[in-house]
Amino acid sequence: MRSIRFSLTICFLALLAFSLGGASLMAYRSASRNLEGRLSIQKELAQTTYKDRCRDEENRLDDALLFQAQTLARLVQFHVDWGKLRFLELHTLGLLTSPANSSAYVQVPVWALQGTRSFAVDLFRRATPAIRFDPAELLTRLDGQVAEFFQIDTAWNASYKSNSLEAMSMEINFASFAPNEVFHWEYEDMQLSESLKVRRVVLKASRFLLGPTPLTAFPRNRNSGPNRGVELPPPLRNNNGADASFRPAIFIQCAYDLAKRDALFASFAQQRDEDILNFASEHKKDLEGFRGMLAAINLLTFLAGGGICFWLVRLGLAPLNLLTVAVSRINEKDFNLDITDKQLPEELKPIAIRLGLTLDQLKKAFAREKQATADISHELRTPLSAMLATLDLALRKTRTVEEYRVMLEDCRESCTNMHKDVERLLTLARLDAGADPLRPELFDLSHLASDCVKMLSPLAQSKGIELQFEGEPNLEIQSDPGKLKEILVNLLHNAVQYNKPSGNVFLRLSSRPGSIIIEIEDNGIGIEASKKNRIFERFYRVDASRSHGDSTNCGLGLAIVKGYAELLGAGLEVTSELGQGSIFKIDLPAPLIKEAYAAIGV
Amino acid sequence: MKILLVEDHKLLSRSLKQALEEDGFAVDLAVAGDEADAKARGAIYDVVILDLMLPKIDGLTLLKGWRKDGFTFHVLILTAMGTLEDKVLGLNLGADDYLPKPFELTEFLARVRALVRRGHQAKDPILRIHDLEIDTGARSVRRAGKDIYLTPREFSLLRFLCYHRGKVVTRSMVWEHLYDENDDNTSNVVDVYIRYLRNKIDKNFTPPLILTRWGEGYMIKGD
Repeated sequence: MRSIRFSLTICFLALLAFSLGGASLMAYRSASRNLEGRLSIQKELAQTTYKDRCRDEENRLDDALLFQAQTLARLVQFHVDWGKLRFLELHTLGLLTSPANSSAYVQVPVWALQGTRSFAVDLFRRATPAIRFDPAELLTRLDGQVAEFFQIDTAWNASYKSNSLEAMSMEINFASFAPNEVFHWEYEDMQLSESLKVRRVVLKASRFLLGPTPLTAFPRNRNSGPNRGVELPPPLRNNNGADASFRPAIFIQCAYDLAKRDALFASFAQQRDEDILNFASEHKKDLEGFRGMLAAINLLTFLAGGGICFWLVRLGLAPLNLLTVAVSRINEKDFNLDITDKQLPEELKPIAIRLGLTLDQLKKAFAREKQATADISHELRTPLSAMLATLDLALRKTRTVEEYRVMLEDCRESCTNMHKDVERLLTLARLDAGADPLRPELFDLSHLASDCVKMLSPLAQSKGIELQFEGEPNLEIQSDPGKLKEILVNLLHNAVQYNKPSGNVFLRLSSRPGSIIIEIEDNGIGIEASKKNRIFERFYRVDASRSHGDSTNCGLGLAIVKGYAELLGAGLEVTSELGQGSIFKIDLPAPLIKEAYAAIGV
Repeated sequence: MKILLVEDHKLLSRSLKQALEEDGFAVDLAVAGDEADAKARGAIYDVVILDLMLPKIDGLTLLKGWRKDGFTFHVLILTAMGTLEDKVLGLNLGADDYLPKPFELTEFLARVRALVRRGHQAKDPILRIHDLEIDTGARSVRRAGKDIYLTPREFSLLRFLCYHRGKVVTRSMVWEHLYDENDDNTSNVVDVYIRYLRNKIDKNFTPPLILTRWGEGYMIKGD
């Protein structure tokens, strides 16, 4: 398995990369959508600007056209055929004085205009059959003006066309001009010829009949369109109130070649297209910049995240390191886990606690092992030293026969005791190794028990203790008599050994269906409750002392009893009260033979 | 020279007691820890021989208690636990020597003698006074080149007097140091043994070495 540090770092970095990627993608999409929006607005703006410019230009041109038409209208008013007028004056009116030159102010008498229509018309038709301009003034007035073409028509069929019109002419729908309006103009695009399309303004002017009016009175209306005339003071009325007055009007048309305007518009369009291209490239540049910025931010964030991740993983693994160090300090001499609960997080506490418990158990096991070694050493070395010392003493100088005899007897007794201890140790070693098999045979347990009692009677008598056997006779069973005898002898020996003077020891046997209950009861010193569980431990003695007064017991007897009882599958129970006595109860799962026979019908 | 032997193995303690007594030491026995504690605190001993695994109170606890309470007698630990740690622990707790079981009797006795010498600030195992030589190791006595045979009691009395040469030794000092708990305290037993000693050491030699301080006790001549 890979290291936690590596896995955590990889996972964290992957997560970081994933979230950074996701966030960047979303940010990029949103930003690019915004930029797209901006681009489209910019495009629309360019388009609007273009339209505005076109409209402004159109308006400007229209205004110029109108202004020119007005200029023409003023100019044309001063040009009448005095020759014809003089004829009228002579023949019809005789009222007007005739100047000598051919160009003069039209002094149309008011009354004449209030006369019949046909007369007025006739008057004008005759007086001004043609329209003329002073070429010098015309040039001065029209220089730099928009209109390339102009045409002047009158209600009385007099007309004038600019040279540029050549054979072409611009038709007027007179009906669209209201007769009552003094000034009225209309804009219109028209096809002048097949190849020439123009925009014209048609201006109807009747002002000159009322006397000179400053040209500035003409409104400069940007909003062009038909019927945008300005109502001036109402026309004169005759006596009966009928509007029968003749309005001698002239219609002035000015026009310019639309191709010129279109060329301008085209330049505007080009400008617009350039702008749009600029916007597009700007958009692209912005997007690229944003991408670069995102990449830089991502890189920085990733690096910072990597650093933080490294630090976090270190922080997270620090307690583990602490534990590792503490564990690595453990050796066969020091079983302490050198770490406090406060230093560890919740997650590691169970490990540390479990480890501590295990180490404690190990420590205890080692201590037991050491204790056992010390015990064995003591149990074997002490009698050995005693023998050595006795023999050395015997050999030190010449002694009497009696002295030698006593010393040799002492050595022999010591040897005998050592032999017993060695045998017990070997028994336990065989039990541990599983090398002591059960040797079952048929025997009479009552007989065996009474044998054991007899065997221990001398010891009991020497201590003034009464040893009694109570039990049914003929308890024939199939079991291992050797091990049972060892158990009984050991328990009886203990019961006698740890008894008060003139105490009692009872050995009771009773049969139950399928098992035999053996009880060994004494009214001796008893066992403390806290020590009851430990009496079966090897070398354990209730009194930490070891009395060698009766060196037949070195604390192994009960360990052997327990081992044998387990081997026989027998239950072993102790009930005891300090100062009152103890009862050792063995529940041997061995049916009486006669019962067993009965069970199988023999 | 009185020794307390604390050992719970009957045969071992009997043999050691006999060997020490044959060497001229008075020996008291203790079998259990509490008994040993009472005796060590109640009498004057030159050396305490201490087994560690004892009934009731273990040896190391006893030793710690004695050293804490200011008892200065020498302690020889005699135990079946002979690992390095056990030795170091025992010595660190105030023992003067450590002898693991099993051991040779001669080594044991030599160590006990060495501890006694150390108790009297004597390095030389042979005590020399005038023309008297006492070999405490070989337990032999010579005066003017002639071997003198002394019983263990006589030897231990002479040795005691020599260790206190030039100083008055009272009868009760002799009693406390040379007689064990089982001896009958009869007032003139010290005087009797002084007479025996004089007969063997001073009778045929001059000058007399054992002097009597009337009303106080006895003294062996200093140099």
